[in-house]
Amino acid sequence: MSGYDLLPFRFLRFDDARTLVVNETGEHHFLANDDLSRFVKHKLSMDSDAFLDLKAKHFLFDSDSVAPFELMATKIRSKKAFLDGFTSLHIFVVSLRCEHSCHYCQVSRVSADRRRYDMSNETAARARPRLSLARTAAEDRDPGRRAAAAFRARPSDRRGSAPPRR
Amino acid sequence: MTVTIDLSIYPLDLVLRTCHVFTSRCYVVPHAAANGRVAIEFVARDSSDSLRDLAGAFSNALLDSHLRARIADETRVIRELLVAQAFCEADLLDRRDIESDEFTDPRGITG
Repeated sequence: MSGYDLLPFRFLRFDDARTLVVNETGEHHFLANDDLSRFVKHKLSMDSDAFLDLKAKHFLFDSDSVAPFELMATKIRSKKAFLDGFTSLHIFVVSLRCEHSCHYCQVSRVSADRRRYDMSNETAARARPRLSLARTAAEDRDPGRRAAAAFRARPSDRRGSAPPRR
Repeated sequence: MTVTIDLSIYPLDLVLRTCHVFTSRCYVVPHAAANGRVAIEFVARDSSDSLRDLAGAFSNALLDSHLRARIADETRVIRELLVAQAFCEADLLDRRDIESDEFTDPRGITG
């Protein structure tokens, strides 16, 4: 293989001199506008810093090795792992009333007498099936979760015994 | 301000995508024009914005959109392979070249 080929990436003009390039795995690099122009025309010098940076960050490849593809595929798989497990965390904020001011809390608290910020029964009734739906969807895709669900749903006369250890 | 684009140079899809970049600054209204052209009318959201640099900025943004489309087209096959390899349980990469032994000549070096 002579020269180099491009790997997928997106770009955005960052300022008058530099362009931000981002690839499929989330790696980014700031490239001089002139270098971007040379890069996409396959005319970037293979000795230049820009070339070596772009190669190291998987914006291009210049050999027949499949190693860059393996690495990128692994990164993409890790990055998108949440798709396989579906939503793993559900938070139902049933009330904003709180007397504390914990710095890690995600809600904007209100004082204890503000009942109008409570979740209504109707909203709560509509939220619960959504959680069940999400759990069912996740279990359908994941054999481990499916097995766990089957274990939970086993006949009541066997409940109480510990699951078999592997 | 109105900018006219020749659709034989830039496809309509690309022009409309580029228009979206300017919607936070302007109200953007595309019109069909004669001779295979499209006229893009820009109206400033802020009355103090003279839109003096808009024609140039739009032309540059259009060029960038064209380059993005070209890069996406050039790398489409690799991108599809990467995504497929990431989520497929089978190994889709061709390893004949790198997993050969001392008796094979996968690249035909010996002629």
